[in-house]
Amino acid sequence: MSVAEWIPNLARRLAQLDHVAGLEGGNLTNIEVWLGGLFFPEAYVTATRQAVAHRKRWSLETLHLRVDIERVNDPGAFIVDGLVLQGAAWAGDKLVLNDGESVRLGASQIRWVQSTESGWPAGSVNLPVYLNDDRADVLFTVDLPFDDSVGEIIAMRAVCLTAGG
Amino acid sequence: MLTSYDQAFKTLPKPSIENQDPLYRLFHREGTIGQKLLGQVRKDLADVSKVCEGALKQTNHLRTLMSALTKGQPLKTLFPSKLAHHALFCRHNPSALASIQSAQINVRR
Repeated sequence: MSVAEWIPNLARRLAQLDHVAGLEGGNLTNIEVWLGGLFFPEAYVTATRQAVAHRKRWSLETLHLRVDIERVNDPGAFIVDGLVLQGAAWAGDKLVLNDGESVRLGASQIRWVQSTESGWPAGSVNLPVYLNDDRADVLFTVDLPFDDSVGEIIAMRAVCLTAGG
Repeated sequence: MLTSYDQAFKTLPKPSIENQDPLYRLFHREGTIGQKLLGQVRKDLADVSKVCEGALKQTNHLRTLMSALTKGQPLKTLFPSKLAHHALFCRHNPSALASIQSAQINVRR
């Protein structure tokens, strides 16, 4: 990344932090966060986990991450923006194959649910969410449902999400 | 662009001991890092400008910086001070994440 790209990127990051610091009321749950714009996005995900565990008095170990793509209907969820889906598209609440291009997703919500089940539900695929395009840092993984027509191909497509760093 | 944050950049006040809200603590920490990084970048740029005016002697750090600026080089060679370096590359290099915390303590004055 050159200076010409880096300076505007830093300015956008600072603008987000400045905005958050200026919020009235101090409710940090329902704000929309540009995940890739944080210096420590992993820490944000961990903080949401701790917040939910504390709020609901659940044990941290029993919490499992759910991400609802392009849905923000849960008042207790945390909203992230700037996610990009690579190698697939999102239609009808499911993954569908496309020609391999990246799709910028709308605001999505992060939830923590209590579950003792490991593994992921049938009809869904476990995808990594990377920090950025170089696919070097995995922030977390997420289970997303896919369309029946997609079948096993999805595993061969190297589909992933990025946080838009 | 960055000058617009000169005085206006806000960070959340330091959380009190009673304030255990993990999100509040997170955004406070993010703000502190941003503030330090911004200060570092500003100081470097001001120093470059002073060198150009002949008011400051070049150092290796500034020479590298000026060379990177004129050639549009990637930021690998830029801002080699510990904090800026790690904050920059924590995005690309996960192993840098752990060291930024210690780097913050050693931030160049």
